[in-house]
Amino acid sequence: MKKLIYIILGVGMLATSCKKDFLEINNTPNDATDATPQAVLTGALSGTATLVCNTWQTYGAWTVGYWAKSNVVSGYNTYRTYNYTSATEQGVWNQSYNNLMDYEFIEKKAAALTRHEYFIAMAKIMKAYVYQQVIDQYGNIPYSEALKGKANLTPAYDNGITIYEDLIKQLDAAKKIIDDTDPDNTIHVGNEDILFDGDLDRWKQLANTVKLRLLIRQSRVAARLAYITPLLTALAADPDGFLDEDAVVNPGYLRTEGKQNPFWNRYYMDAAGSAATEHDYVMPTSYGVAKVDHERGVAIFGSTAASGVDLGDLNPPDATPFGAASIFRSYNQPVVIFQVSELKFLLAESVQELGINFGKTAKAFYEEGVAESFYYLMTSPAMIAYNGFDDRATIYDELVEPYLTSEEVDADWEFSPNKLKAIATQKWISMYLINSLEAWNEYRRTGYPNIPSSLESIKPGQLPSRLLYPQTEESYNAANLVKQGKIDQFTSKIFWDVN
Amino acid sequence: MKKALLFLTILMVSGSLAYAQLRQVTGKVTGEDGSPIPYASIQIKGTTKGTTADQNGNYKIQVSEKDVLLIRSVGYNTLEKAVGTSSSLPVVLMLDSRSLQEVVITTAMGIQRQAKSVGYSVGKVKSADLVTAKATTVASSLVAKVSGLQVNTVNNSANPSTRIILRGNRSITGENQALIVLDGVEIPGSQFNTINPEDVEDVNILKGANASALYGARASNGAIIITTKKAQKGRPVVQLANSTQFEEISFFPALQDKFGTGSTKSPIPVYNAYENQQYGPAYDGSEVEIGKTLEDGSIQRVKYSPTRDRFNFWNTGLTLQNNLSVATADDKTAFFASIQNQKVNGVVPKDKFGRNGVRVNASREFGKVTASANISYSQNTADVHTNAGGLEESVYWMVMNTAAHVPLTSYKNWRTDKFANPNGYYNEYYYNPYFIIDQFRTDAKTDNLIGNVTLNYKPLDWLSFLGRVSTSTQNSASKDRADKFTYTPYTEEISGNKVKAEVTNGFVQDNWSNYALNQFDFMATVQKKFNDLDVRVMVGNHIRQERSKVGFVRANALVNPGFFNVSNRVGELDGDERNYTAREHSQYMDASFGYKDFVFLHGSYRLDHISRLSKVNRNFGYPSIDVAFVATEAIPFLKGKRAMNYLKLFLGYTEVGQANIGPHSLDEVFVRGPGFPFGSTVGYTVGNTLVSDDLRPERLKSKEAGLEMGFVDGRVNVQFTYYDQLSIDQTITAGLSNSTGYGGYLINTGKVKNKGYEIDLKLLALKTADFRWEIGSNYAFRDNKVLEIGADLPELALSDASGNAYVAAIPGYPYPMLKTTSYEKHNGKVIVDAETGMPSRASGYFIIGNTNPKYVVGINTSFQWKGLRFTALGEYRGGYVVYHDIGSDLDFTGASAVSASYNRQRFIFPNSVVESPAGSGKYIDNNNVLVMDGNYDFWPESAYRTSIGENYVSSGAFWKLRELTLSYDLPASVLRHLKIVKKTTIGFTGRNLLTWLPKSNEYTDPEFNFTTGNATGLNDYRQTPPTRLYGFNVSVTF
Repeated sequence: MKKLIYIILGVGMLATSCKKDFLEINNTPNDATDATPQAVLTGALSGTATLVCNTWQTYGAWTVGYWAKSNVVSGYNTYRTYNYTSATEQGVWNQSYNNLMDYEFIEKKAAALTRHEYFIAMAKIMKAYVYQQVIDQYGNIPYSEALKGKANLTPAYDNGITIYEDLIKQLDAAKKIIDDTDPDNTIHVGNEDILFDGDLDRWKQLANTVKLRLLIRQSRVAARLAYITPLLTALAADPDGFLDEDAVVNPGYLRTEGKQNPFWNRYYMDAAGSAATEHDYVMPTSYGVAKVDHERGVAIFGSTAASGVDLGDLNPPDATPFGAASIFRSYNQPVVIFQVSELKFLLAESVQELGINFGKTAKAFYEEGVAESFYYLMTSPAMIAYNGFDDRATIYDELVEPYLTSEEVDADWEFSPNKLKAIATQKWISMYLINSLEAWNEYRRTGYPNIPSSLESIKPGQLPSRLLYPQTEESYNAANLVKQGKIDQFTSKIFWDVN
Repeated sequence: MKKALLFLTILMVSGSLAYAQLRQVTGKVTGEDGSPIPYASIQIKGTTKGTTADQNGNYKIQVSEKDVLLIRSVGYNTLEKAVGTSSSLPVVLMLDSRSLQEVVITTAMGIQRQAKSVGYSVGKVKSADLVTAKATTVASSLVAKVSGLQVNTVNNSANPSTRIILRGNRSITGENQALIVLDGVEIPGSQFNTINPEDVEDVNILKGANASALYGARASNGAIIITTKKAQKGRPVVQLANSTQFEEISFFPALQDKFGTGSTKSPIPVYNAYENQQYGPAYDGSEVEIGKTLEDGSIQRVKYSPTRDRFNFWNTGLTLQNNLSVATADDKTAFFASIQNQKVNGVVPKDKFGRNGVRVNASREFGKVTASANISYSQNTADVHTNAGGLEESVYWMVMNTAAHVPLTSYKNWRTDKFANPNGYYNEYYYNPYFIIDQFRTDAKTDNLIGNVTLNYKPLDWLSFLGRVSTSTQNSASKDRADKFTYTPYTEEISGNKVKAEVTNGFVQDNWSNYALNQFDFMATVQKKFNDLDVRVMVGNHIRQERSKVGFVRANALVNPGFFNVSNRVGELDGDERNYTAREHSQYMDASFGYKDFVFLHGSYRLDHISRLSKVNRNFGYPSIDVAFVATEAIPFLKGKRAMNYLKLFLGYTEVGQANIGPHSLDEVFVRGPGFPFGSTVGYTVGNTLVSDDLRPERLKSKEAGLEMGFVDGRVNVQFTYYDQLSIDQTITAGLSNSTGYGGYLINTGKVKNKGYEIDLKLLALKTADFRWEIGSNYAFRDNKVLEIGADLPELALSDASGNAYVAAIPGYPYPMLKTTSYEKHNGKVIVDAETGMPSRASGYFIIGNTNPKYVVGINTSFQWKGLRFTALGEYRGGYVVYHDIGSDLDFTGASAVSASYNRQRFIFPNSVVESPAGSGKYIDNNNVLVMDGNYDFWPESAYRTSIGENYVSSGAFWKLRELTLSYDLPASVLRHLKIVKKTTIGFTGRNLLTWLPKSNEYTDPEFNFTTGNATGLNDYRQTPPTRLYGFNVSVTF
C-alpha cells in the first residue's frame, strides 16, 4: 500500500511539473517587435503627409480664413471663438511628436546598423521639417531632451530660436552625410522612400528649401538679421539648389476605407462614394471667395459660382460645400508637403526684402510662384476639362499672363505698392487647403493678407497668435511646462512674430 | 463533511434503539420541499428510546398513544410531534436558520469546512434562495443577498452584461471583478452568465482575498464558488419547470410634452417640420405638416399635440425558461442531468436571445476510487440590433430625437409606407428607429463547454489524492451587418443631410473567437485526528493554460443590397487577428488545525510562476493565515446559554500577488501605419507605449476580522466583518509627455487602500407549526482611497477625458472619482453676465464625487404558511454619484423635461450672482437679470448648458424592490390523485418591480454604465431604459 501511495504521489507531481521553457511563451504573436529603417521610413513619411493634409491643415484652414462652418451643424466652437484651452488641438503637438519619434528611430536604428547612412540623412531632414511646424505653433518646446523614451520621461523645454539654429545645423549635417557616403558601399533607398523614390539630389534640394523656410521665418526680427543674412548668402551659392517641383508623398492611396488620401476621405468622400460626414459642415469663407481670382477659385472651391460665409456667422446660409476640382481631386491624390510655388515666394522675398542675390529679380520669382500655383491648380483632370488646355505654356498664356498684367493690386507686381503684401497674398492663395498651417504661419509673420477675425472671437476683431500647450504637458510634464510662464493665445507670440 | 455529521448523528442515536411498545407507527421524514431527509433520528421524548429513519426518510417505531416524538436531523429544526391515534405519521422538518455554525461551506479549492471553523467571511446562498425569482443568470440571482457583493446590471439588452465586485475596487486599471469558480474549477467571467441557475446547488461567496488566497493570482478580488447539483440517494427525481416572465420599461427619463420641433435662434419659437430638436412652438392641437414634401407631392399632416409614442415604441419583452432535470443515485453511483431552454424577446422590437444548455453530473465509486465528471454545454444565440458599423447613435437615441407629436409607432413598415421610408421620413437628421432595427443587426452564436473529470483516491482513511482535468471552452462566431440603402435622387437633392455613408454603404463583418482555459490539479490531503487536535494538510500543484484567438474580416461597403457576405464588397477586405497564450504553474499548501472544536488555525502558502511576467519577476509566493475562536464552545460559562448560544471571533492576514497585465504585453512594438499596407508598400511606426524593464506583480495585503453571534437559541444571528486592504505596486500605463516619443509607460506604481465592514443579520421572527416568518438583512460600508499613482501623475483617467465628464483615480480621493466641467462660480454660486444673464463655463474639470456606492443594504423577508410562501427582497445603494450623459443629449434635443421647466421663457438663473460693480471682483446675488434667452439660445447651447457636466450629475442612490415572489405547493390531498406527481409548485415572480430614485436623478438607473470595466459612474444613450419583469412559473416533480 505504501508503495502505491508513493507511486501516486510521484506520478502526480511528475505529471504536474513542467518543462523548463513551459513559461517562455510571452513574446507577442500580434505585433512586430522590431522594424527596419526602410519600413519605418515609409510609415513616417506617410505620417508626415497625414499631418500636413489633415491634422495641421484642419487647424490652419479654420484659423487662416480658408473655411467656415455651414448651417448644417453646430459646433466647432473653439474655431469660431478662439477660446482655446489646453485641450484645443492637442493632436498638433502629440501627433507631431509621434511622427518625430519615427524619424528619431530611423536615425538611431540606421546608425546602429552599418551602411544605412542615407536613412540617417533623410530622417534628419524630415525632423527639421516637422520640428519647425511644432515650434511655430508653440514656441519653446522639448528638443534636446525629447524623444529619448525611458531615458528622459520629462524633457525640458528648449528655446525656439536655439532649436531653429540647431535644425539648420542638422540640415547641413544631413547634406554632408549624403555627400560623404560612398554610394558603392551603402544600402540605397528605393521605393520605400514614398517622397523622392531614393533620389538623393532631391533630398538635398529639400534640405536647402527647408533651410530657406527656417531662415526667412526669422527675417522680420531685426536682431536675427545678422545671423540669417550670411547663411542666406551662402545658401544662394549652394550648388545643390532648391526643389524644382512639388515635394509630394503618395504611399499608394486606394479606394478602400482607411486607405484613401486622408484629406479627401475626411472632407470629401468615403471609399464607398458617399459624402464624408464633414463635407457638408465646412464651406468657403466669403473672404476667400472674394480674395481668390475666378479661375483659381473654380479649382479651389470646385464651383464656378462659389459663395462663402463669414466665420462666426450665427445664421449661416444653406451649405454650398466644396466641390471636386483641384483641391479635392481624387481618393489617391498625393499630399504636397512642400510646394514649389512657396519656394518661389520665399526667394522673391529674400531678394525683395533682404537683398540677397538668388540670380533673378524678386519680380521674376514672384511671377514664377504665381505661375506654379496656376500650374498646380489647372492641371487636375477636372480643370483641364473645364479650361480645355493641359500644357503649362497654354496655361501661362491664357491664364497666368493676363493675371500678372491685370493691373490689379497684389496680382500685378508692378501695380502692387506693397511687395511683401503681394508676395504674402499670393502665397496665401497658393496654399489654399494645400498647406493651410504654413499659410497660417506666414500670415502671422507677415500680417498679410488681412484675414478677418471670426465674428464670434472672444477678443472681437483679433485672431489668435498661437496654440496653448496641450493638456498632456500639464499632466505629465508640469515641472518643465511652468517654466514657460503663463501663455495667452492672443498675446503670447512666437519669437519670429513681430506683428 | 455533511456526511460525517450525519454519520455522527447515527452513532449517537444507535445506542438507544427500540424497545417494543404498544403499537407500531410508520412515517416518512421530508424537508419542506418534499424531498426525503435520510437518517433523521426519532426519539421518544423523555426517554432514551428511539430509532433512525432509513436513507429514504422512512421510519417505524413502537410507541404508545400519549408519547411525543422528537425528530432531529442536522441542519433542521428539531420537531416535537404528538403521536395520537394515527398509525401513519409523516414528518416535515424545517431548515434550521439558526445553525450558521453547522452549515458546511465550500472554501477555496473545493475544501469543505464547517462554518464555525473558518477564519474569514463567507456568504452562502442556497438553491432555493437563488431561483425564487427565476432570474436568467446566476449573477442576477445573487443581487442583494450577500453583504459585500455588488452585482451591477449595466444595461438591459436581451442578454445583459453584469459587473460583479466584492468589497469594491482595489486595482486602478486591472481586474476588480470576482473570480468565478464552478465545481472547483475556475471559469472565465464571460462564461458566468452561461450557467443555468436551476443547475446550481449552492453558491459560496468568498468575500475577500483572505478567503480566496489559495486561488492565487486571480484571488485578490474574492471568489464566487458555484457548486452544481448532485443526485441524492433515493428514488429517481424528475423535475419539469417552466417560467414565463414579461418585461417592460420601468423608468423613463423625464421628457417634456409641451413643445414641438424647431431650432431657430429666436425669442419666439419657430416651427420646423423636419427637425429633431424640439425647440419649436408650444403644442396647440392644430394640424401641422411634418417632413418635407415627398417626390409624389404629398406631405404628412398630423395634429400638433403630444402622443405617447415615444413610450409605446418599446415592446413588452418575454422571457421563457423551460427546465427538465433527472436525478438518481444509489450507493455507488450518482447521476444528474438537466436540459434548459431559454428564450428572450427584448423590449427593443425584434431583439431575440436564446440559450439551450445541457448538463451531466455523474460520479461512481470503485472501491477506494471515486470518479466523477461534471460537464455542461450551452449554445447562446443572439439576434439583436447593433450600433456597430459607423452608426454612432443607438435606437434609443433615435426615439429621443423624436418630438412628442410625431406618430413614431406608425413608422414600422418603412419598406411599404412612404412616410416611414428613409426617403420620406420626416426627420432630416436622424433615422426612423424601425429602419435601423431592420438594417443594423448582429447575429451571434456562442458555444460553451465547461467540464471537469476528477479522480479521487483514498488509500487510507486519513489520506486522499485528487487529480482533476478541466476545460472551459468558448467559441463564438458572429456577423455584424448593415444593409445598403440607396436614396432617391429627389431625396439627395432636397435632403442632403439624410444621405450618410453609414446607411448608404452597408457593411458586413464576420467575427470569431476561440478561447480555451485548460487546467490540471493534483492534490494530496492528509486528514487526521490526534486526540483533541484535528489536522488537515493539503499540498497541491496547479497547471493552467489559456489560449485565445479572436479575429474578424470586414467589408466596409456592399455592392448588392441584402447579401451579407464579405465577398459582396467595394474596396479591399479589412481584417485582423489577435492571439494569446498564457500559462501558469503553481504549488500550494493549505493546513488547518482545530483544537477541541473551538479554536481553529488555518494557513496557506502559494507559489506562482506566471508566463505573463518577465523571467526574473515571474516567480512569487504569498502567505495567508487566519484563526477562528468559538467562545461559546471554549468558555464554560458561555456554554449552553439560550440567550447567546453562539459567539465566534476570527482574525486573518493575507497577501496575494497578482499579474495584472495581459499576455504578451511586455514587448514594445511597432504597429502598422494607418492604411498600410498600400498594395505591396508596407509602413510601420514606433508603438506608443513604453514598458518598464522590471515589471513586478501587484500585491494585495489584506486584514480581516469579525465575529458571529447567535441569540435566542439561534433565532437571531449576527455576523460582523471588518476588512482593510492595501494594494501596492499596481500595474498602470502612466501617461507620458508625447515629447518623450511615447504616450504611455507601463510601470508598477500606485497604492490603493480599501476598507470597510459588513453586517449580516438573520432573524426568525415567528415560528409556529404552520407559520414561519424570517427576516434577513445585510449592510456593507466601504471606503477606498488612492494613496499614490505615480510620482509625476496628478491623476489617471479611466475613461475618455475629453467630454463633459470622466472618471479618474486621484491621489487622496476615493476611486473611481467623477470629474466634470462646471460653471464659473463665486462662493458656490454661478456667476452670470450682468448684461446677458448667461453663465459661462469654467476652464478645466472639477472633482464631483465617488462613483461606487459607499453603503449597500439588502433586506429580505419570507413568510411561509403551509404550502404558501411569500418572499421579498429589497436593496439600497447610496453614497455615490452618477453622470448621465443622456442628460446633455436630451437638452440638446430639447426632449428633456428640464428644458421646459421655465416654459422656454427667460428666467433668472437659479442661485446666481453678478459682478457688481463691473470689474470689481465683487459679486452680489442676482435677483433681476434674466437670461438673454430661455429657448434655443440657452438649453441646447453647449457654452451655457450642454457642455457643463455638473448639470447632469445626480446622486446614485436607489431603493429597488429586487424580488417579490409568491409560491404555492399544491397540497398532498390534491396530488394523491395524480399518482406519479410528487409535488407541484406554482408561483408568481416579480423582479425590479419598483425603483425609487432621488429627485435629482431624472435620467436612468444608476446601475447602468457604458462599460463593465473599472470606469463606473458614466452612462449614455446606448443603455436602453431600465425594465421590470413579472411572471409566473410552474414546477412539477415526479
